[in-house]
This record gives sequence, C-alpha cells and structure tokens, in this order.
Amino acid sequence: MSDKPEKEVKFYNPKKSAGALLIKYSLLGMVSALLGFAAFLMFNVGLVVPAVITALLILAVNFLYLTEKLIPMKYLLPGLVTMLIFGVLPIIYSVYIAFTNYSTGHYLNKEDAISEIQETYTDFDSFTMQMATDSNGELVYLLERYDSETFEDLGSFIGTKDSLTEAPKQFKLDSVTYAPIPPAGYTGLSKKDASGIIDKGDAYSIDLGGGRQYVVDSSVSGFERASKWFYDSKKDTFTNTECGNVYKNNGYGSWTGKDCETGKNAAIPTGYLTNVGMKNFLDIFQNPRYSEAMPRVFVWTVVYAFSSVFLTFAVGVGVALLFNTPVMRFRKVYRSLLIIPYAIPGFLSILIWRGLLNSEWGTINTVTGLDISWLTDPNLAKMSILMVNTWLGFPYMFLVATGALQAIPSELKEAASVDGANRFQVFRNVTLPLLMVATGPLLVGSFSFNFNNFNQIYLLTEGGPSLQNSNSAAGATDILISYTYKLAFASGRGNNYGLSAAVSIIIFMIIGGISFWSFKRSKALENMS
Amino acid sequence: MRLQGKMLAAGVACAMAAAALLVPSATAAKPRLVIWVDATKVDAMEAIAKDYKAANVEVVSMEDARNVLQTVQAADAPDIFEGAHDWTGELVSNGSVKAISLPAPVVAQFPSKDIAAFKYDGKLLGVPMLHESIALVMNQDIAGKKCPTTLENLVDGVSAKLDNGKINTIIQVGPDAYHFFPMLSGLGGAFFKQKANGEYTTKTLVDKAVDSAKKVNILRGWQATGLFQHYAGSYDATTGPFAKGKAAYYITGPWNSNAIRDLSAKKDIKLCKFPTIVAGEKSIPFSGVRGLYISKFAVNHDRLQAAKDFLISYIASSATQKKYCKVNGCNPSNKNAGVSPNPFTAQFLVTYPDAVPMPNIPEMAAIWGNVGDAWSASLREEDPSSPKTAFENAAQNIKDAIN
Repeated sequence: MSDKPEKEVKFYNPKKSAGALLIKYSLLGMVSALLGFAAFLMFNVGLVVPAVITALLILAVNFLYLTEKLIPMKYLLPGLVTMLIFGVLPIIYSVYIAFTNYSTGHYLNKEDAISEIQETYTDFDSFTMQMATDSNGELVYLLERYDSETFEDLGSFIGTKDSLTEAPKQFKLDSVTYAPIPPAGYTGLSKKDASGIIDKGDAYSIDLGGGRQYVVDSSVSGFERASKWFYDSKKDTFTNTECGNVYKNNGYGSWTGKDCETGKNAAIPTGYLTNVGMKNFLDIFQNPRYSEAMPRVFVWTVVYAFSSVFLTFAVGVGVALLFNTPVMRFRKVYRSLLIIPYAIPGFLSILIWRGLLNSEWGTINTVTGLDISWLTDPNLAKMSILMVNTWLGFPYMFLVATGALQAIPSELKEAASVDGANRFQVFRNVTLPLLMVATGPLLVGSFSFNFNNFNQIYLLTEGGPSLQNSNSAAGATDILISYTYKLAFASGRGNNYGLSAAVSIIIFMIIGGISFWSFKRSKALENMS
Repeated sequence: MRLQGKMLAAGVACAMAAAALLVPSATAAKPRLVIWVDATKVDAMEAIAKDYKAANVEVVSMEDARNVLQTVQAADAPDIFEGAHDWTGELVSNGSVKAISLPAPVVAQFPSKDIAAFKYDGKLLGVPMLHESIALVMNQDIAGKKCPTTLENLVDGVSAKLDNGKINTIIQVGPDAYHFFPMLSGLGGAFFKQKANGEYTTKTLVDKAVDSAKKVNILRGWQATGLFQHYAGSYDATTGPFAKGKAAYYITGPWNSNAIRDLSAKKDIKLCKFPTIVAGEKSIPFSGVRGLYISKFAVNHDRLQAAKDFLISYIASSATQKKYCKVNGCNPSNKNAGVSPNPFTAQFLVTYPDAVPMPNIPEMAAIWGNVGDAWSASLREEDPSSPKTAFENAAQNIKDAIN
C-alpha cells in the first residue's frame, strides 16, 4: 500500500498483543450480546422503534471499535449515548407529558376508558349460583336470591335463557359459598367447567324487565343489575341511567355532568389520556390553586439560590484567604478538616441537621437551653435552610478559591501595594476580579444547582412549615422544584404528572435563561482582564 | 472437538424441549394465579396459598403495588394484589382493578364498614382480610390504672409529673392527620359527612373541629400545656420518648404491637379508647382495612374467573382468614375468624367498633396534606393567627381539590 507516510503521522497505533485483542473482542462481544438481548426484549413487548435504534447502535458500536479510523469518536460514543438516553430523552418525554393530562384517572386510552365505564353497574339483589344441566342437557342456573342490603334470603330460583322462576322446593346450600346443591334431576357443573363456560362467553344473562338483568358474575354468584351508563358514540356522551343526566366530554379527557344525588357538577371517575394543549401551562398562571403561590415560591427560590451562592462563596473565599497566609501553622490539617462537610454525603448531614435543629428534643435547643423553633417558624426555617446550605457548600467554594488564589501571580499584588494600595484595596481591585474570572462559571453552575436543590429542602423541612393563609400546597420554604414535586404527588387527585412536567419545563427555561445570560457576562469579564 | 460441541448443543436443546413439554403438562390441569403482596404479608399469604387446591398460587413480594401496576408489562403483572382500602378510588379511576361481587351471605360475615371501605362508585373492589385502627397506649406506671374518659381527666392525672420534669410530654403522637384524627373527631370534625348507611358524601366537615371560641380555647390550651409533642420530626423520631418513659401516652396502631409487647416486659402497658374532648362528640380513629384486589391483568391472562373463585370461595372464608392472621398476627376481617394471636394486636380492637373507615377517594393525598398542615399550624405556639383560619383554609382547599 502506498499510505506509508500517512501511517507514520498517526499518533494512535499501539502494538496490539493477542491478549489485548482478546479482551477487546470479548468486551465488544459482551456489549453486543447485551444490547442484542435488550433489543430482543424491546421487540417482544412491542417497542419496535427503540428496538431498531438499539439494533443500529450495535452496528455502530461494532463498526466504531473495529475500524482504525474515527479515533475521537471511540472516546466520545459512550458519553454521547448515555447523554442521549439520560439527558435528552427525559427532556423530550417531559415536554410531551406537559401537553397531556397524564395523571391519576387519565392513564387509559379512550377506548379502554369507555369500556371500563360501560362495565359500571348498579347492583340490586345478590344471588349465589350453581350451574347445572337439566334432564334435557340444557344449561340452567340454580339460584338462591338475597337482598344485598339486609342479606335476607329471598328464596330459591331456577334460571333458564328465557325466564327466572321460583323453584318448587327450597335448595340446600353449600357451607362455604352458599351455592345451591343440585336437587334430583339436575347435574351440577364443577367450578372449573362453570368458569370455562363464563370464559367462553356462553353464560347467558336473563332479562328481568325494567332494564335489569340477571348477570352471571363468577362460577358461584350473580347479580340483578342494570348498566349505570349509556354511551352515545355519535355525541360522545354518557347518560346516567338512574336519572337521565347527560355527561359530556369536556375535551380534557373526562366526561362531566350533573350528579344525580347532589345536582352538582361532577366527572365520571375514569377518564382517558389525551393531549390537552396549553391547559397545564395556563393552569399554572390562571388556576388560583397553583397561581397564588407561584410568585411567592419563585421569589424565595431566587433568594434561596442567590443567597446560597453568595454565602458559600463569601465564607469559602474568606477561609481560603485565611489559609493562604503562609505564616499560619498546620494549614494542611485545617484544610483537610474543612473538607469534611463536603465529604459527608448530603443526605446524611441534612438529616443530622434536621435532628439537631428540632425544637423539642434537638441538640441545639437542649444544650443551649433555648426554645427556638428553628424549623417550624416560617422565617426561622428559611434562615435555618440557608445556614445549613452554607455549611454544606462552603468547602467546595473554599477548595475552588484556594486553587484560584494560588494561580494569581503575586507580582500583581506586590505591584499594587507598591503603588500605595492598602490590603483591602488590593483584595477589592486585584484579587477579587481575578478570582471572579476563574470562579464565575462555577458560581453560575452553583446557582443553577441550588435553584433545583430538591434534596436540601425536602430533607430538612419538606417545604414546611405550612402557611395558614394560603390555598396552595406550597409551604414557607418550598422552592419551585419541591413545589413541583408536591403538585405532582400531593396536591390534588393522586399523581398529576402533566402539570408538574409543565412546571419543570418553566424551571428549565428560567435556569437556561439565567445561565445563558451569566455565561455571556462572564465571557465579557474574561475579555476585560 | 467441534463435533462434541455440536452434540452437546443438541443434547441441551433436547433437554430443554423435553422440559418445555413436561412443565405445561404438569401444571395444565390447574390455572396459575399470581398474587402481589406487601413484604410483611408474604409468609401469611404463602401459608394459605399452598392449601388452595383449585389453582397454583404464586406469591410475589411487591412494594407500592398500585404505582407499579401503571408501568408493569402484562406478562409480569399480577392477577390479584394485596393492598389498603384507601387505594380503591385511585385504582378505579385508573382502571387498574376489576369489581368483585361477593354473594350476600358471604358479605354478611364481614363488618359492614369493612365492605363499605372497599366500595367505590357503587362497586365492591376488594375482599377484606384484616382491619386495624390506632389506640391510646398508656404507660400505667405513669398514668395510673384506669383509662381516662375525658381529656381533662387525662391531663389532670399526669400534669404534676410534667411540671416536676418526670416526663417531657403527655401524649406522644406522629405528626400527621391520620394520627390526629381522634382529636379532630373529638372536637366534632370529620373529613367528610357520612350518610346514614356510612357512605361518605363530598361535603367536608374539617372546619367543624374549630367552629366555636370554646374549641379554639381548647386548642390554645394544648399549646400551653405541651400536651402533644411538636412536629418537626418524622414519625420515626416520635417513637423514642414513650419507650424511654418520658411520655405518658402514645398514639399508635397494631403495626407497633411487637414493640409494645417488648416494652410491656418492663413497663405496665394498657390500650385505651380515646378520651372525650368535647361533651357529645366521640373521639374515634380511622379504621384501615387491607384486602385483595383483582387486577385488570387477570382479564388479559384469561384468569378472571379463577381469581374470582379464589377470592369468593377461599379467601373470604373464616377458616382461611383465621389461618392468614395466625401467621401474620393481624385481626381478621371475617367476623367468624376470631382475633389476632398477639395479645396487644387483639387489644387494639378496643377502638375498632367506633372507628370510621378512611375515605377512599382518589383525592386523599390532598386531604391528608391539608389537614396535617392545619394541625401543625394550629399547634405552633408562636403562631399568632387563629387555628380557626387554619382549619377553614384546609376545608376550602379540600373543596377545591375534589371539584
């Protein structure tokens, strides 16, 4: 081949030993096998598109790691794939959910919901049943009739396709199921055979007049029942057969109308999953249950995120400056100790703080003899949250600032002091601006992190204490993301994923906007220096 | 070498084919039923499942079944699952369950409130297996031998010990609306108005708990005496003081029976009804019922009839429920099945006859949250606003939530 000179400039051409190749191929084989199995499973449960994508991924992986070219991609592919799966896909899915009514009562598709509602009955008398064949080999029901409310025995009946007639003689009953024991002239069917008849759809219903039917429910029981809802497929309405009230499709996946008893507006409990357009977004701003708390929660979220960044940065830089003085002894020991709050998992330390701050038996109140409601007073709870977050976050800022301070050339500071600047002026005009250049993007990152710092809020106060004069689920310390969580799982009817997806998209846009703006600003800062 | 490999492969394939033929022929006679149960009830369910002749019952331990049901694939889904009665409304709205029609004589064997608990929109959705309600657990070494009949009695009996620091608090109780319901009902409140037959209407009576100056004063009195603990902690954090003898009373349910039995070795413990707070109003707890639901997947699996047979002719019977609770230690729901073998669990039944079932509408999450918030706001000493506002707000929020 004539590409010899080209080969010489290749920077990646390790000599591959047989062992290395073996490891490479077996790893590749394992990944392919796993992905292949995943694709197979996906295909089996009907996820055709994901299965095809996975299959394509297998080809891509094999091609990429078997070819000598495309070297950067070899490093990037795992990251790219996981970013697509865990980063981009959830965002797409959230956006989709935000425009639907996906929530408790709206999981079924419309067809299933309609058949589910059509299966709602009003039950009257209750029957125990024994299926049997009579002397002609015809299927009959031997029935014992009961009042559903009083459980009173209303006598024995024999049911045929056309009629329900009183039995000439009272049946004897089974001791457990109370099903009649077949008298002479009838051959009882076993439960299994009876179930088979029901499953095949061969069990008939008996018309009892007045819209009521005897309907077989199980191999040993049946009911006198009437359908509760009549569905008009042309108008897409349900009519309540008890009082004739019409329930109309409200366009948001439910049928609503006037309740028979109370005359108030009500919805049929079962609805269906559908696209609701901008409804979730409009609700956030127009429905007082959600909109009332929004400005308050938003302001506190910004205050919380900003104060957290400011306090952790101030304390972190302060401590870093302190330990940057060469005269101090045991600096390394102190520095190591200061990392501890950062090194302990937040989940643990936040729960420990929650215990410490408990007003009744918490260590802080017990030791000091104070009676301060750290977490139960709305304002104090906010202070406690900031205090704990400062404690958790300052070691990070301290680490970052220590590194950045050491990178600032000391000549600059010396030059400044030669020019007659005092220590504060040096810090204000030389150290701090240079520090900001290095840490600016981190501060923005820290702001976004705290904007969505669900763990700290939820573990420390659960968003509480609750506010008395509020019509919303939001407590005094709820930030947007914890409020979203409450909207999703604890504010109304079961789980409301659609609404909370809409809120999370708004949060996403806020954070995206702020980050974009501040990165532009920090770029400007960089240009200045 | 290659040939050997092929022969081996062929052998494996033959063995698998043979196994595939054998397995169905061994089980084809009986249908299969898959049951999901809460981890604490697996042993009990297995004990009764193995004696059921008409089907092969497979018991699977599953936490949070009602939410898992939304995402599970049909092949892995259960035919029957065990759960609490207050899931009923949500399960119906989501179309996750199939109605069960127990024959009237079988229904008659259960307390009517256990049946009502599993009814939603006129349909019966579950077969009750056990019931439970919270009670007032009394440390007789501190509070004397007799159960207090009024809250005033209760406070008078132990206030001296609170003043001299022998105890820190009078009643230790979890920080939520469930454990506080006896106090809400004792003040004349309720989550919802009930019809004569026990069915809930949608009219909330939460604000009735503080509808007079007298009741507000009672609440203010609770703040002042430190009758209850303050509630920034979780439920777990509240189990300590009673065990250490620093609280005279403890409000909890039969799930803590074993802990109470252990404590009773060192302390003299008795279970009481809740004392009257306002004359003419009963202080009653919620009753919780757990039972079996038929999942919508039983239809997909063609096992709906098998599941119904299992519930109607086996699970509902007193003998089965007795055996189930013997293993699990619960109080069976069937009236003919006796009581729990654990003496303290059996004692918890003292409050059961008066208890009302927890409502089972899908909006319960909002109601628990709002009533819980109203309690914690009302019992905060430093809060200047009136408990009346807190409860009126809660009532308004509940009205908004269910419409």
